[in-house]
Amino acid sequence: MIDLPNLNTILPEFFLFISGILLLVYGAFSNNKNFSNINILTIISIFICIISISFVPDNSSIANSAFVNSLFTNSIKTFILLLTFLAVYVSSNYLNKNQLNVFEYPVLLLFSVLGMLVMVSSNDLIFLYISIELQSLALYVLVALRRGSIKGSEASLKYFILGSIASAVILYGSSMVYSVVGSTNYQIIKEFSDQSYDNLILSLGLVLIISGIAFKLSAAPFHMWTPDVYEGAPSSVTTILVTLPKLAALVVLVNLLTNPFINQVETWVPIIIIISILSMAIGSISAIKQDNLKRLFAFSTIANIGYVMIGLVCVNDEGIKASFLYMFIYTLATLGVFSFIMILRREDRQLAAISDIAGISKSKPLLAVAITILMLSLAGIPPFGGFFGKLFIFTAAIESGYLYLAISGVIFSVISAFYYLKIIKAMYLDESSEDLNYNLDKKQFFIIVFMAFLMLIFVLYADSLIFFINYIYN
Amino acid sequence: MNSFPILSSIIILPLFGALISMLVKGNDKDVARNVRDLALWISIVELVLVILLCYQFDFNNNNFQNIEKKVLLSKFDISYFLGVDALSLVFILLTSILFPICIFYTKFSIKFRTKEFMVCFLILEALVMGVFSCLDIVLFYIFFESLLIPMFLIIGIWGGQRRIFASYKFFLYTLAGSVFFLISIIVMASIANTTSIVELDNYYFDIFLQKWLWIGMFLSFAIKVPMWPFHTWLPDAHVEAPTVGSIILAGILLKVGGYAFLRLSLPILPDASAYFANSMIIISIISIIYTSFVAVAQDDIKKMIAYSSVAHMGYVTAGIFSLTAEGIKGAIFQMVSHGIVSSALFLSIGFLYERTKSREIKHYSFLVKSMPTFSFLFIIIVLSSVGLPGTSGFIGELFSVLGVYKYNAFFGFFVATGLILGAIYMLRLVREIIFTIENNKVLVLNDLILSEKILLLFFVIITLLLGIFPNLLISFIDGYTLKLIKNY
Repeated sequence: MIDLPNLNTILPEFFLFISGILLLVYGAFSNNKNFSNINILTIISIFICIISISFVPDNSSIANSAFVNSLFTNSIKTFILLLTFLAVYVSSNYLNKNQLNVFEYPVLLLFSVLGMLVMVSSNDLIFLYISIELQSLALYVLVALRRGSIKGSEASLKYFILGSIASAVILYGSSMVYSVVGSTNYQIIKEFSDQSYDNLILSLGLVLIISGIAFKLSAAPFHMWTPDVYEGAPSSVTTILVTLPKLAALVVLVNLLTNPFINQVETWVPIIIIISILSMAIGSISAIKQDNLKRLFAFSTIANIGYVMIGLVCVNDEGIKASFLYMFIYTLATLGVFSFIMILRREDRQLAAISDIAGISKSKPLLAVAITILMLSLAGIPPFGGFFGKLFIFTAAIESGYLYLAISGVIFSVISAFYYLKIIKAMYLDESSEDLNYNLDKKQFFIIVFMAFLMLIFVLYADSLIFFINYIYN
Repeated sequence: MNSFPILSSIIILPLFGALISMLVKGNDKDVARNVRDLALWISIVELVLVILLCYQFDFNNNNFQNIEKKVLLSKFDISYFLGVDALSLVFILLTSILFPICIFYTKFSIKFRTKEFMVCFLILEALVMGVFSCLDIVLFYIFFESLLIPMFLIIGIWGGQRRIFASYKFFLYTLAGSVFFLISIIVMASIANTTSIVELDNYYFDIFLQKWLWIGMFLSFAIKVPMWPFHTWLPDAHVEAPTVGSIILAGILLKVGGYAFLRLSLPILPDASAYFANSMIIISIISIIYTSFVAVAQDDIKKMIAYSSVAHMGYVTAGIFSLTAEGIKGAIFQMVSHGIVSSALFLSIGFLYERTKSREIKHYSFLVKSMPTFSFLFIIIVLSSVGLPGTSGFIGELFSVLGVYKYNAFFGFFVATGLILGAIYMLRLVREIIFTIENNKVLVLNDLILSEKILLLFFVIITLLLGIFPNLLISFIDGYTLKLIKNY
């Protein structure tokens, strides 16, 4: 199907696919199972892939415009690949220390990222479904990587079964849409819904698709799997789970809602509002009682997704740009936070309880300051990045007349401040019972401090960032 | 001289100092000494800079001076916009005076993790200076909210027994109020399409909207001031905070609330302020009378002073919302006076606490015998607190009552009762701890050492100076008050 001149349209995906296969072959057939070689090769292929994005022509498409590129998708892909690089970089020592240094890990990650890249560009429900499946299947295996652990197995099983149901729901929704439209292409769906916007089956299909994607986003009420999977998965995989798929799923949701289903606003706006408020509420309130850092940040993710959703409700460019700005800040801050969870290691044992970080400010002052900044940023306390994210989200909501969403948003942000404070309290106010003189992993430490620094000076580059988002989105 | 960004220097210098302090390494004792010296010097340089700022300030010009502006976000033109008028200058001066004193006093009161304390303290100073000098409402919110972080740590790390509870309550209570302020800010910005306070002053919002915006702001400022019924975080925060924390809390952070009413509520939302003036004065009266009675019942000296703070801040809000020149001058004067007097009171309690590790009234008796110098200075401070003529407290309360009386004689009467109630508990405190001999048991305590004497004497001199020559301050804020009151 693909003639050669069109190859550069799918160049990054194609390259990622080839390098994934090659790495798989290399891993399977090389006698010397040296993990760091594969890791370096992975990083190199990610970078070549980033470079190859610059060869992709803007506004190009293949396969009857089922796969569409634009400046926006290219930028998102670059960001996803950069995040992947950071995730690989930050977790290499974690994998070595926890005996997870199998060659399948980077290969699966590359396939999952391939799925995400296709998700971002997909302009067709079939493409969407296949890419989501590719992305998820690789992640199911990654979650199950710790075979010996009961929690790990439970997490992967839960993730697999529930994730499959969600995928099935998306497929079912797509088939409903297909049954009335006769095509799965976004453009044709849009043309159809322009003429008959109150088609019940179309709306039902849309609702099912939204539910499936909300599952991938871990938005309430489809969030049940989140804490268990995040806790059970190896921390390096959790780091991937909280950042990359969320961003890709958000892009998919935005593409779906603003392109083919833009006429279905009456159907999906109330749904997104409910999802948003529920996510903020459940994320903020349930996290209060958590003592495990991974579970706590799982709920924090749910709450943050709720804020992101507020931007979608606005149904205008301002809101969607605010959502992406928020997502950008959230992914960077969370990457820092999960690097922190990976760094917590004492006597060959990973730590994840809040009590384990008690008194860390005495032995590791810089680490404590950086985490404090990340926590306050997530809590939306000025002058850190998270505050500006919330500011723009609430501004968009208020300008679109959703004052009540902004008000519920700020109320839940006060509630969630409580558990972010709990972590600061543990670091600064509590005394530690154990010896805290252990060595920190340099790579992880660097990422934590770097992310905290980005949050700290956010106000200085915020304007250029917003300008950039404006530029790519239009 | 005009080209020198003096306000930015005032904000950046402490941040810079905090950064340097973080980098100091060595054994604990040396680090503590060096960092404290560094912080002290920085706060003294701050004072010099502020005096320089006052020196070049043009008192005949009622507009904002020393303006610095740089756009941060193109949305709404949110900018780094600084400038001072007489009102800001008064509070900047107060801040720059109190900080060196506190840092000096930490030598006696902060015994561990001095480095972290100084870092928090310097950041706090920078943020307070930012609050008092910024002219952009979003920037104001940023400074206003960020204040919570260092204060949370100061209460939480160096506080007393229930410090964690107190610091959480302080943080969440204040945050809960502030977020509604944020909503008000966003609504105002999206309607007026600007966040500059100067431009918002000239923008007219319709009266219905004004009322709601005003309520959003009120929730935040009333918690900060604090006004009854939003005052409950204050006693906990004060009791648990270390002495210097209490001084900064009472001396400066409470003033941020009053300052915000004057800087934002009154000029931007004049109709709503007039509409709510009645209720505000009634709440202030309840504040004054209710907390005075509560103060009478306290056994803990610090808690008593904390409640008295709420009562004294009641005069401030009553004065502001009398919307008369006298009332507003009185409110500003009262804020300055309370900044000095309450700081001195908390400092005195700190002196006692260092000696006996107790804050209970009943643990102290007949201090006049064992600590005569302390008793002498303490009584002057207490008298200033109850508003004896000749002290700064008197002028502030007199003007506030006058303002309220002018607004409504009936309200004036009730506000004035606070003067008597205040005297009841403060004089009881003096009687119990200084003049009463219980069971012939005389506590043997060392009198103040020289540096303590100097600190307390300094406060006494300021309060007497302001009491005898109130024009020092009144003439300073005359122009500002007239400009503010023009709309009413």
